[in-house]
Amino acid sequence: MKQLTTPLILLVFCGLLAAETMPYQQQSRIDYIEKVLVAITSAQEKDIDNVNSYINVVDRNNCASNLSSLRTQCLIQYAMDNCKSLRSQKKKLNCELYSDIIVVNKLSEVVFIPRSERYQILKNNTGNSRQIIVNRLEQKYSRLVTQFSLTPEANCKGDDYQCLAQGLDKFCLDYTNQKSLSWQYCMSAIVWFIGTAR
Amino acid sequence: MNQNSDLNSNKKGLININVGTNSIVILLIVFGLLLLAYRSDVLNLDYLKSLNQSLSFFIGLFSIILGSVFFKFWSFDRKSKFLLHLTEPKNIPKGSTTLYTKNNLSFAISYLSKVNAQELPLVLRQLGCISIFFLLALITLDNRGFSKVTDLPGEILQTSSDFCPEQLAVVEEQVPKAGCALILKAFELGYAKDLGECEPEKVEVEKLKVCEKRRKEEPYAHYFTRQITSFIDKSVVFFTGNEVKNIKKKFEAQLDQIEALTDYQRYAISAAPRASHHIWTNLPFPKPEYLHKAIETLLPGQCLEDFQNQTNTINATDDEKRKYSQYLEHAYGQLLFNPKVNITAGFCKEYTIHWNAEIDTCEQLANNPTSFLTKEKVLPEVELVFKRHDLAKTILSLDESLRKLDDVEPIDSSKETASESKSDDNTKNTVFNKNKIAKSEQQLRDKNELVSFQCFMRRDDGKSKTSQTTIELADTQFKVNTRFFPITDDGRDPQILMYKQFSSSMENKFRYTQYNSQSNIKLKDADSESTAITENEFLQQPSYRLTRLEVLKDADIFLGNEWILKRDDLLEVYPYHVHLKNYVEKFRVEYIKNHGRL
Repeated sequence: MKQLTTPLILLVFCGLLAAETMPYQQQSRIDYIEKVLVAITSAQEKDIDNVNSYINVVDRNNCASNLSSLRTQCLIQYAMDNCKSLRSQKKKLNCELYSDIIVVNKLSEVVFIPRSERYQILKNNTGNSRQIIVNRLEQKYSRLVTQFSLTPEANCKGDDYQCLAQGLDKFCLDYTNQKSLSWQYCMSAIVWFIGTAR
Repeated sequence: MNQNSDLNSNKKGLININVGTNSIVILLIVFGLLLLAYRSDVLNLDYLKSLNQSLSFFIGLFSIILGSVFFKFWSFDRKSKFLLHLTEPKNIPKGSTTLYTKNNLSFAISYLSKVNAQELPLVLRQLGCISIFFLLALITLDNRGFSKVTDLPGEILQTSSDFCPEQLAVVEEQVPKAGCALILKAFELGYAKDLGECEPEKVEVEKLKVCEKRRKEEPYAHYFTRQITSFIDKSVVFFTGNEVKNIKKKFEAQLDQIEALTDYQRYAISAAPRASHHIWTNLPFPKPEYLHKAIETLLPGQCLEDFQNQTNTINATDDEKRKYSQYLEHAYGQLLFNPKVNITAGFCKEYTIHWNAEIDTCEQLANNPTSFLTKEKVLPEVELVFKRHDLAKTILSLDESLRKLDDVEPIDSSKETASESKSDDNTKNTVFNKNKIAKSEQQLRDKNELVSFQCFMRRDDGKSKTSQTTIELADTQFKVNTRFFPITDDGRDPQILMYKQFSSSMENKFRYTQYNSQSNIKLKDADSESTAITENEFLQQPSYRLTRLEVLKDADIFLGNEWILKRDDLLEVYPYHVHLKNYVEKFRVEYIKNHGRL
């Protein structure tokens, strides 16, 4: 037994190292999604709304750019700065996790609602255009969630976020392999819907 | 009635009635019609007074004539042949049919009996017949109905639309221009002095034509004769003019090509192939051979469904033998047939991959094309496509010759007015058909665009190489490309490799560069180490992991970006659809320039 201890420790260490060098491996992804789910479901609704509004404003103003890489880095930076203002370490961490979802949803907006559809919506409706877009996005997210809920991977107990994260990961990998949608867009849309459905 | 009294009074109080049926029938009919007339309220004095004179005269005339004819025709003026008897049974004449007997009284009917029967007087019988038709006419006809009947011949002969108008309407139409409504209104109200550009255009007055319809005062016979004469004249002109000759020539032209026309339709209906493209490869079947052949036999048209539901990537089986075949099949489907990416480059049933071919297949093809294609059982399909191409050309030339026959010139100057509009229509149709045929000829691809042969061979010497030979079939030169591609374990993604190799094989002019990629143009080389380090560092950060994946959209793995290909974890979440769709679109644009179908 003592002879096996050192190799075992080395193996675990190598595994951890691999996980660090490969942060998008399956288990790492699932763990991350689980944390995001916990963060978004435990956070207060007003905090999430505040960050959402903040990201909207920043995206339109400070981070407006045609280069997606610049836009992405800018949004991440502003989101990080926003979360730093929180005092509690746990709240900071949670803030970063659900901010990640909010930023990805912002980036995926043009995929869920193409320009032509956006134009039609705004042309045919009066009133709060932002709210109309948000409602339409919710509809699109709900379709994804419905498809996910029809899969066997959705059979998880209420608070088993690990199971849910695993199911979401598999579903989004299969879904994006068939459709024209990025994995992170699929994931963020469903996590946002689950997290804000209160 | 008096002669029978002896017979009748044998015993006092006994009934002995013998009546002729003629009288009974007349009485019954008159009684029935009287009842009907009473119910129809036509015996009302006021109604009778309201009848107009012509109707009254008609009813009287009708009843007298028909009543008299009826009286004579049905022999009501003679003794009845049938007699009805109501008497004691012993008094019933011989040969009679007894209908009813009760209380020593029988009711019988006899035929041609010698017994003297009671009849109505002749005058009354004649009056009865006249009354029948009088009541009939009274019940069925009224003033309105009678006037409809009398007016009918006139209506048949005279309809207002068949007459020439009394006054010819000469109207100058003014067509107002679009968007000038405001200015026109201002002009009307006096705010504008002139209409300027909004001045309406004057349309030419329709030329007055000689009216060939019937004139108001023209007798019908004259009009009828005129129509007949006109018809004969037109027929003579038609049958002696060019039109009939043209029809005949057109028919003869089509008859000469009847076989071609029949074949053309037959091939269209039977969905015969319109192209034939063949790819030989030395890779094995992607599925076990027996399964592949079973699917081909049992589900021959499966390719449409298969390629419709293709995923962006596939996980090839661990079977090393078939892995590359599966990648090839996937790339082949994506590049040519996936309907999610714009218009497909071809029809999958007209493409065939010949698996397990020999490495020198294209050399064999070049040495003796006909025998090789026969051996491969491909020649009938290829020849059918050639035949369809020739048929298409024949049909186009036939259309051209028919179009030329449609250019009919007017044969008589006096008929110019009538044929002017027709020649205008002919000119328009001619121009339209000419353009249509010219366009069809341009769109008709050459044989070497409809049929193609290529070889896609695996070679493990580490170098890719393309060679080209030319063969001749059906008097046409065909270029046969052979592409040798290596498969080495140098860590490069085999799927991406297969896309690049196969697309080069199918269309050697296809180039995919940074300028037609959807990734942003970078100053740094996509494969440079510094790029990889920067991107990797960015993705390694523990926070905002989902957002950081956005950078993968800018990294087109079809252009290199080996740092992604070396990371299995990134390949799992890589957005293939972004760059794959673009790659396929660009390939198809290039491919369909030189390949297609009829």
